[in-house]
Amino acid sequence: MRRNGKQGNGWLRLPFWLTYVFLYVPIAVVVLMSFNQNKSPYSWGGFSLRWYGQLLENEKIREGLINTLIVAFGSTVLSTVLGTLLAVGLARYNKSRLVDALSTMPAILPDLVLAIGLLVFYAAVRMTLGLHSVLIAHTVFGMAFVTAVVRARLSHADTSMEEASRDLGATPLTTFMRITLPTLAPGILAGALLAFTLSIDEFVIAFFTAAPTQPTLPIVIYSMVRFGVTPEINALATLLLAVSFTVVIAAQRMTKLSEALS
Amino acid sequence: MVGRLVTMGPGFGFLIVFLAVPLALVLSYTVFRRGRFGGIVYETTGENFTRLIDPLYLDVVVGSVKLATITTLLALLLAYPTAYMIARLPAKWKVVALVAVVLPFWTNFLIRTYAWIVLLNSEGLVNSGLEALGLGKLELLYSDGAIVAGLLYAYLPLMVLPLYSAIERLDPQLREASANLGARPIRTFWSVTLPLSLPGVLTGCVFVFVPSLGNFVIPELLGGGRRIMVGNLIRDQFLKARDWPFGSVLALSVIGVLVLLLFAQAWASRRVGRDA
Amino acid sequence: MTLISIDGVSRRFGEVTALDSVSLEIRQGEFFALLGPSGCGKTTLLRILAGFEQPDDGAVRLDGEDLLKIPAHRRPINLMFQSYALFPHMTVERNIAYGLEREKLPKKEIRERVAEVLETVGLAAQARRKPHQLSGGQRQRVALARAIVKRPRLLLLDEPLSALDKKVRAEMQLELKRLQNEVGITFVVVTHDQEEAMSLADRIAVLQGGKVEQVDAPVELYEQPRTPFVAGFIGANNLFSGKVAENGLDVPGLGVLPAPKGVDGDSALLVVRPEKIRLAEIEPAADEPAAVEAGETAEPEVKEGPAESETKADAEAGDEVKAEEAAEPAADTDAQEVVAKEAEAEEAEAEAEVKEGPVKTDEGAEPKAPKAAADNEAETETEAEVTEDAQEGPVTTDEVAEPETPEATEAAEDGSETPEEAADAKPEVAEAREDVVAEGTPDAQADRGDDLRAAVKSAMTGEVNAEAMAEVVSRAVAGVVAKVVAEVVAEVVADNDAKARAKAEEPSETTPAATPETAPETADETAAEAVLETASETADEAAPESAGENALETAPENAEAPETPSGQEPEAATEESAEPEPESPLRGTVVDVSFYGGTSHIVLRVEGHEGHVLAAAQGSARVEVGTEVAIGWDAADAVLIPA
Repeated sequence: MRRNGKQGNGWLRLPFWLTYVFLYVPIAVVVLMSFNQNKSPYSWGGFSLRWYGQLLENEKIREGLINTLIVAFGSTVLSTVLGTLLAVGLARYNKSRLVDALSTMPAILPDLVLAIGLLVFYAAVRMTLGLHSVLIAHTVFGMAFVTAVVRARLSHADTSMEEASRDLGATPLTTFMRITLPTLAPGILAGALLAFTLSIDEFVIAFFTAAPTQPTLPIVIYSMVRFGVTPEINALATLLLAVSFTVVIAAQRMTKLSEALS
Repeated sequence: MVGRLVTMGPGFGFLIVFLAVPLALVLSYTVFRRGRFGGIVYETTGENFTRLIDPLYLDVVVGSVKLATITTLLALLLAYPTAYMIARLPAKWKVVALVAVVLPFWTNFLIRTYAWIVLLNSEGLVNSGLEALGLGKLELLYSDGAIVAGLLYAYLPLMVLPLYSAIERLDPQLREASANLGARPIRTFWSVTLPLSLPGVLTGCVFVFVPSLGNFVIPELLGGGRRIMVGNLIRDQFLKARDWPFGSVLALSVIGVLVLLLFAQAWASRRVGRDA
Repeated sequence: MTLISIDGVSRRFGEVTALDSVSLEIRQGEFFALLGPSGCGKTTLLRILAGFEQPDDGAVRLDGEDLLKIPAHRRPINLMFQSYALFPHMTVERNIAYGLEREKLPKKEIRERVAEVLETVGLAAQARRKPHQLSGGQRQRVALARAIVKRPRLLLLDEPLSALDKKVRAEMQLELKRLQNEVGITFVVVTHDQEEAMSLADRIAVLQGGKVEQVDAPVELYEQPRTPFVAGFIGANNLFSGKVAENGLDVPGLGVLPAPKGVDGDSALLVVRPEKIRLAEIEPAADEPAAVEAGETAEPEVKEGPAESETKADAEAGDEVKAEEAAEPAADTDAQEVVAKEAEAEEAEAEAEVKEGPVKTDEGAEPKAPKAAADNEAETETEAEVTEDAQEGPVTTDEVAEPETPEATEAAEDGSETPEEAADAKPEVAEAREDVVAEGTPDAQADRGDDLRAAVKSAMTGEVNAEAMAEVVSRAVAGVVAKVVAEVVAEVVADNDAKARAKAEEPSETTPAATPETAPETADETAAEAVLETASETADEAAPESAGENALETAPENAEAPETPSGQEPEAATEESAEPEPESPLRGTVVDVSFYGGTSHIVLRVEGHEGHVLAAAQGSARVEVGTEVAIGWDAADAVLIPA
C-alpha cells in the first residue's frame, strides 16, 4: 500500500498543491497589502496600520456594517426557527417530493434568479424596499441551508428516543423541547452559523432587494471596488477575512465539541 | 396532523409566499409584453423567446456558455486530483485539507474578486513578476482570462466538495478488485474510479457552471464590462432596461440549464446504483 | 507440491505488528484456510498475497518465483472480496468480463468464457442485471465467477460466507467445495469463523497475534490442539492448567485429573472436549443406576456407541478377553429393569472390547449401548439371550459375553485381511449405513436421519466428510488398530461402516468441529464392530427401541444427563470402569442445561475451578439443574499441552 501509494499518486501532488496556492495567494496578497504604509497598493512601503484607522472612520462602511448585522441577525433567527421546524416536519411527516424540492431549491437556485424573483414579487405586491425586504430574502435561502443541515442531523438521530419520551408520558411539545431539540442542537447551531455567515457575505440578492438608502456592507464594498483599488479595502478585506475564518473554524470546533458531548 | 401543521406549516408557507410565488411570477412574465416604461402589459407574446436568438443576444449567450464551460473544465481539472488526494489523506489531515479548501469560500465574494484585481492589475503582482522575468507587461485585467480566473476562484471549492464526497465513498476495494483482475492504475481510473465518481463530477459542474453563467459581478469587475455575460444581461433587463419579460426569459433559460444538469446528475447516480 | 511458499513474512503498521515472521506452505490444489480472530493478521497476509500490501520482511514465492516483485495487477492470483467489490455501474456480464478484457483476449473468447462461468455459477439468467438488482447470494456468485473466470493459480476468498444468511451459507459452502473440485484451483480462504474453516478447508492455519499457531487438517486441529490458543479457539473446550503428575495433571484445588502421559515439562494445560466428558450422578440411589437413561438419550448414545467402540478398539482391539470383562460390568448395570437392556448388554459386550460397556450401563450408558449393539452386535439370537441375561443378573452378561467372544475371535482370525481393505470397504459402507440407520431404530433413526441430513449440510459436503473419514480411517487402520483390522471381515466392516459414518456425521452437527472427530471414531467403530462381527441388523432394530422405552419408564432423569456425555466416548471408562485409569476427582453441580442443535449442553459449576465445565451429549438430556454429579473422562480423550 505504501509503495503503491507513492508510485500511483505522486503526480497528483502537483494539482493538489496548485489548488491551495491558487486559493491562498490572492488572499495573502490582500492581507499583506493592508499593512502597507504606501498609498499605492502595489509597492511595499513598510508596515502600517493606518488604513485600519481610516477604515474605522469611514461612515459608509460603518452604516453598511450595521445594516448587514441587522439583516444577518434577523434572518438567522427567522431561518433557524423556520428551517428547524421544517426539517423536523419533513423528516417525520413528509412524503411529498414537492415540499422536499421546495425546501432545497433556494440552495441550488442561482442567486440571481432568486433575486429577480423577489424583486418582481415585491414590486407586484407593492412592498417598499428596505432592510426588511433584504431580511426576508436572506431568510429564504438561509432556511434552505438550516433545513438541510438539520435534516442531515435528523437522519442520524434515533427516533426511538422520542418514542421513549412519549411512552414515559411526555406531551409532544415537551418531547420536542426536551428531547428533539437537544438532540438536534449541534445541527441547529451549525445551520444557524451557516445562515449568518451567508447573510453577512451575500451580495447579489441584497443588491436587488435593498433600498438604495440602506445598503448592506457588501453593497458598500461593491461600490468602492468599482472605483478601483484602495488601501482601505485591503484593510477591510483583511478584517472580513479574519472574521470569516474565525467563525468557520469556531463552527468546526463547536460542532465537533457538541457532537462529542451529545 | 397537528404536528405536521405546526412543524412544516410556517416554513412551508414562507417558502410558498417568498419562493414559489416569485418564481411563478417570473415564469409568467416570460409570455407577456413589456410596458413602454418598464412594468408589464398583460398581453401574451412569444417574442421574448425569439429575442434569445437575436444575434445580439445570442453572442452574449454563446460567449457566456463558452466562459462558463472553460471555467468548469478548469475547475474539474484542478479539483479532481485535489479531491482524490484529500480522500486519500489520513483522517486528521483530511479535515484540515477540506477546511482549507472551504475557507476562502466563506470570505466575502467581492473581496475575493477584489483580490484578483490587485493581482492582475497592470501594476499588480503578476505583472511585476512578469516584468522581473523580462517578459514585459501584459494586459491581464479586463480580459476573458481574468473573468475565468475570477469565476474559477469563486467556485472552485464548490467543485472540490462534491468530488471529494463522491470519491470518498468510493469503496477502495473496487479499485483493488480492478487491479486484482489485471487492470493497470490508468485503466482502473477510466473504468472504475471515474464512472463511479461521475455523480460527483456532475454535481460539481452544476455548482460551477450555473452560477458562472449567472454571475454579473466578475465580468463587470474583472472583465471591465467588455464582456457581457448572461448574468449581466439579466441584471440589466431588470435594473436598467426595465424589460422584465425578456429578463425572465433569460432567467428561465438559466434555470433550464440547471434542470438539465440536474437530470444528468440523477441519471449518473442511478447508473452507479445510488439514490442521489 | 508447494504452490505458494510464505517465508518469514512480517508486517508492521506503526506500533502494531500485523504479521510476525509468518511462514506457510500452500500446496497445489488444496483448499487452505487462514483462521483466526479479527486482528490476527490473516487479512494482511491475504492482502500481501493479492499484492495490495507489501511485507516489511520475508519472501513470498509462487512456484518458486518471487511474488513480491510482481505488481498486483499482474499476479495470477484472484481475490473474492468480502464485500464482493462488484462494480456497481457494470452488469453482471461486464463485471465478469472485466478481468478477461484486461488480458486482451479476443472478444469471442471472452464471451464464451463469461457464458461458461455464468452457467457454472447458475447465473446465466441474471447476466444483464446490475449488482444492486441481485440478492446477496447471487452477488457472491458473481464475485466468485469474476475471480475464477481468470483461471488464477490461486483464488483467495475473504470471509466468503460471512455476509450470507444461514441457509444461503450452507448452499454456498457446498458450492465452493464443488467448484474447487471442478476447476481445480488452489483456494485460500480467510475467515474468523472456525465452522467455515473446518467445513471448507483441507488444511487450516490458525493465526493469532500475527503468528501461526498451528497448521493442520481440521481433524487434527480439533483433536490435537498444540497450543492453548488453538485449544480455546477451536470449538468449546474445558481447560485446566496444572502440573504434570504421574497419573495425570495435578490441578491446584481440583486434584489429579485424568490426562494422557508422555508430556514433558512441568506445567501443562489439560484440554477436554465437552462431548468427552462423562457425568455420573452422585446420589446414593444405587439400586438401579441403569434406570437413569432415557429413551432419547438412547439415540444419542447409539451414535456414540461406535465412537466408543473405536477407541476401545484401538486400545484393546482384538482382545476377546476384554469383551468378557466388559460383559460382566454390563450385566450388573443393565441387569435390572428393562428388556432393552439386553441391547445394552450387547453393547457392553461390543464395547466390552472397548472397556466402556460396563460404565455405560451405570450412567446411562445404556442408550448408547443399544445403538452400539445395534451397529456392532446386532448379531444373533445371542442378543436376545443376552438381554434376558442382563436383566436377570450379572451371570447373563457373562454368558452373553461368551458367545460374542467366540465370534470376535473368529472375526479376528478370518479378518486378518489387510488394513487397507478395511479402509476401502468403509467408504462404500457409509452409504449403506445411512440407509440402515434410517430403517433401524424407529425413533432414534428418525432423529438420526434428520441429524444426518443436517449434519451433511452443515458439514458442507458429504464428500468432504467421506474423504476425511476415509483418510482418518485408513490411518487409524494402519496404525493402532492394525490388529483389529486384521480381524475384520471386509463385509462386516462394510455394514458397520455405514452405520459408523452415519453416527460420525451426526456428531458433527452438534459440535461444529465435531466432524473431524467423528470421522476417526467411525473408523474405530468399524474396527470394533468388525471384531464383534455381530449381526448388525437385529441389534439395530430391536435394541434401540426397547432401550428407549424402558429407559423412559424407569428413571428418566438421571440417566440421560450422565449417559449422554459418556455415550459419545468411552463411557465404559466411567468411574467404575474396569480398567485402571485414574479416576477423576472432579465433582460438580449442574447449573444449566440447554438443548440446541440436537445436543444437550450441560453447564457445571465445579468448586475450586474458575469458570464452568461444559459437557455435551447428543439428544436431550434430562438432568436437573442442581444435580450433583461426578465429572470424568478418559485420559486418552484429553489432550495435554505443555505450558
